[in-house]
Amino acid sequence: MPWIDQYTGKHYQITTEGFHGSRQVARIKTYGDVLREYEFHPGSKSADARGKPSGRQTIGLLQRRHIRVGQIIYIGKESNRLEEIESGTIHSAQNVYTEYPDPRRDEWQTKIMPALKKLPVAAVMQLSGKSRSMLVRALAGRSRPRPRNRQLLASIVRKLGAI
Amino acid sequence: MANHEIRSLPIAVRVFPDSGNAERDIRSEKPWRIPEGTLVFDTETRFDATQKLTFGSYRFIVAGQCQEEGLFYGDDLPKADLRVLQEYAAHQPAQTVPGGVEQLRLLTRREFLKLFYDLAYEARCLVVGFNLPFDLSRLAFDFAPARGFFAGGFSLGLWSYRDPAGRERPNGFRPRVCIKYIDSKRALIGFTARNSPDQADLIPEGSVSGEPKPGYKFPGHFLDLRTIAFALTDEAYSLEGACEAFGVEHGKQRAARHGVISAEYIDYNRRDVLATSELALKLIDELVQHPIALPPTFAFSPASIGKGYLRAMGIEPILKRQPTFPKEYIGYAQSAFFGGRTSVHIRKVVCPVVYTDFLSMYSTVNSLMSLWRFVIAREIQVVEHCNQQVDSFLRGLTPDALFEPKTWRHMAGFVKVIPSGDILPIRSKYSAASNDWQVSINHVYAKQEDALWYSIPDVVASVLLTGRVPEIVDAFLIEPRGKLSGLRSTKLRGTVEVDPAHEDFFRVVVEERLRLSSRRGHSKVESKRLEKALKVLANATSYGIYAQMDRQEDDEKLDLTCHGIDVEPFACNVAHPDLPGEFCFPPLASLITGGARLMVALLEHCVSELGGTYVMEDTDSMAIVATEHGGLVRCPGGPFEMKDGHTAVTALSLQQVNNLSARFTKLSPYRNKSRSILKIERDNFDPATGRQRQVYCLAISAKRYSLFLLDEGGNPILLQKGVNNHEDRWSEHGLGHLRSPSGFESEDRDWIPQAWHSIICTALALPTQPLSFEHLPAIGRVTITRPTVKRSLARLNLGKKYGDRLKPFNFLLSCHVKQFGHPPGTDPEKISPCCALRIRFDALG
Repeated sequence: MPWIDQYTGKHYQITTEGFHGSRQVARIKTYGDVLREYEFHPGSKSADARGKPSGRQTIGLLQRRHIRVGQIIYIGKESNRLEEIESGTIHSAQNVYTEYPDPRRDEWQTKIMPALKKLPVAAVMQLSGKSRSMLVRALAGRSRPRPRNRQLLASIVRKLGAI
Repeated sequence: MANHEIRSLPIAVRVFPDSGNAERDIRSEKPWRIPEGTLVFDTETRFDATQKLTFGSYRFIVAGQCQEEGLFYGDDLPKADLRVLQEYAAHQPAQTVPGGVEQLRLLTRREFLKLFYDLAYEARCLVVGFNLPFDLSRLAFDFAPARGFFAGGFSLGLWSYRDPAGRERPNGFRPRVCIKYIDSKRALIGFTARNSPDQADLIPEGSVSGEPKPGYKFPGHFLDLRTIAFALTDEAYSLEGACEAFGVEHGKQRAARHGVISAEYIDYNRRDVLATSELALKLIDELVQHPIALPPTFAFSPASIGKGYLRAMGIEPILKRQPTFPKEYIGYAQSAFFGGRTSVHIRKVVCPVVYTDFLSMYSTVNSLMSLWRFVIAREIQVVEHCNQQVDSFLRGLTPDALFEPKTWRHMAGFVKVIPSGDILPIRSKYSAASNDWQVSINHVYAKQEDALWYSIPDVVASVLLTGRVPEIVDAFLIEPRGKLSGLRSTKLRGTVEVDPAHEDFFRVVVEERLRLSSRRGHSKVESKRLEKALKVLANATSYGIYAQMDRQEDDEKLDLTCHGIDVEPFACNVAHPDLPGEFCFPPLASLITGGARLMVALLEHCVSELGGTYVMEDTDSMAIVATEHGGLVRCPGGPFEMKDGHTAVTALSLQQVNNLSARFTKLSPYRNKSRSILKIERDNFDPATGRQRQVYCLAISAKRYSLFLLDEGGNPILLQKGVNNHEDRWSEHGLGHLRSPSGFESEDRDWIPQAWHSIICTALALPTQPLSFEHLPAIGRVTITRPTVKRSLARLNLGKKYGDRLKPFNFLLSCHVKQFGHPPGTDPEKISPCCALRIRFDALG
């Protein structure tokens, strides 16, 4: 019996062999794959003995990381729908946090948008692959791009040294 | 000395959103009496993707006596199956009382729905089931996303009619049933309004006058036993488990085979309904033991019961009785909110440990900080800008002072600091792979404009661990003034009297729990239930209800005024805001969890002071590296060197750990001063001999650890309930969503300890065999709980009848695509770097 992609509704076969999927077949995780990920879960909120973020291969005594506050983002409670995140029904934990953008602290509004406005729209279109209408709407403040688009545009601005 | 990399990361702080609307209070203040009639039912379904109704059975019970029993069946049941049901009904009597309907009735789905309408809606009977959302959605003929109060849930059409063209249409003269899923134990269920309601429909429940009230909607009395069992025990039960726990006489039986209709299978289903009806009585009886005005249908969680007690004691929610409490200070306190401290300190190295645990951590901290004063205060005042006072307090602190209970009473406040390497909780995205917000206790640095608010206990913990006071830019204290009038004594579960005006509720609950073993006049079962009730109550009232924020599922955006770390609030317009729960009061919530983190930090300090260390800590527990006589234990990255050149950490001796535990006795807020609040957990003792044994710990990351023994050959033996311990001691965190490799329907979880055994053997460099199930697809089971999940499956339902569709609350199997395992051409944006979730749903079977 074929399996169904939850996002597109398309049918696929599944396999647990090989490393890659093919056109009609997805390579899914085995219990062994899950357990290896589990065993090598990086625990990156701590640092290794050298002070670097703990990684998959880190073993031994950990220490505290040193974190400088970058942007401050306001969120609601974190514990919404944890069961669904774990089971994978919700693809990203981000979908269950509500963000409350504070214009005074919002990097998009305070840094990225002003820097983007100084750049030629055509150049941003070319680098981002986004449509003119989307960019014009966003730069006029008529819409707020999705998080991944904001990240993309922020990376362009940084790459061009505009901030 | 290690070089520390200071990394700039975005951080998240909690905000307090204020919608400006009047407070919502859906709880009825009117007295509720259990309806005279009860309809109990259960359904069986096909064992395939559709899980469509095959048949079910019901009992109609009046005053505890079964008056009518019957079977009902799905619309297009095969003739052969129908014959089995007809034959069965013709030959089996109903299990009814004399005077009841003697014959076992056999109804079509429509006939049963007619009965359901008459009883559940018209006669306002109690509708009882175990996992009602699943059973109700089997009876429906259509569904749609719910709106309003039930937004985010499903609206089920149960009653229909056929139009002249023969199409099945929703009957507007009948209500719909809305179900909003909360989690696997809870859902809100209610009727909607119907067209042209009768005058009788408009009489509100509990109305004294009996007068119809225009616009009134009868919500129904839906009692899901899964939910009330959870509320009473804080445990997720199956029907079988709940029947055992509550001593049901005719408990659940197991079916030899599911999905195929036979006389045995019909017996099985009828027995389920009998077990459900008996369990309902037991659970309602248990709830009635609590002297609180909480209808069984409103007992959603232990917090419901906890809040019921607060109301019973005449305690109004703080923000309701003091709506003028300055919102900016609520925002500051909310921004200082973090959950329990949980991390790994020694990763993937097997270490000998003593596993320790704080006694009722949140209740203990509440008592130590005297927070009950605030719960019963007539007014809570804010003492603003007391920077100097707090600074002096922090500078005068010593570790010994923290072992003086009176010190803890001075910590009811918050500090705004400019951290510069201070050790404080911080919420950030530490891993690009998981991309989620995680809280950790790290060295924090910030610019002046990014100064952050922390609870005083958190700042005290930093001072304790760093030896320096951070730069303070603002501080405030909260102080209780007077006492509420109208406080009333109550009896916990009808047994333990507590006077809220003169006793610390948190302390009484824990003390009574500790005293239970010496109480006389209670049977063993009764003592066990009281112990459980007190434990649930202690947890329910000591923390969560003050932190409760409810996410609004309605897609409509709301204009909000948000209070965060700055003096001035900001306005925003967002969908799905979190609005404060009834008893929400962030200053208390943040102080309680901050106090708990301070307690763990104090233990960390004491262990470090002795030269020791720990493997992990988790909210209220810590695995301290310790052996019988102490000494060096090999550990990569450790600060010491062994004779063989390997780096090592120091293990404390058992005596040193015992001394540590004894030291914490001084902090006990309880009358029995001989008992320390830092327990050497039972896991450290052999249940057969009572002697202390050497326990080992292996931890991978926060909340992923296992405790075990080593045999003479150095092989690991996991601590297992009923075998060598009072409970299993391996983490299922991060694996709980997967089904057993031995079968999707199996509840067998043995594969998890097998996996842990293998992981531990690898860490010990012992030979390991591949696990027998390693090569099998990792399969999870998910339920269609929200319309958003359903949307992605919409095309699969096109043109199909309801019964043949993937319906709300159907169970589905899921699997996760391995990294790079997705078929080419699929949308990579929906694939996260490490854990792609592309292809997920399948039929059962």
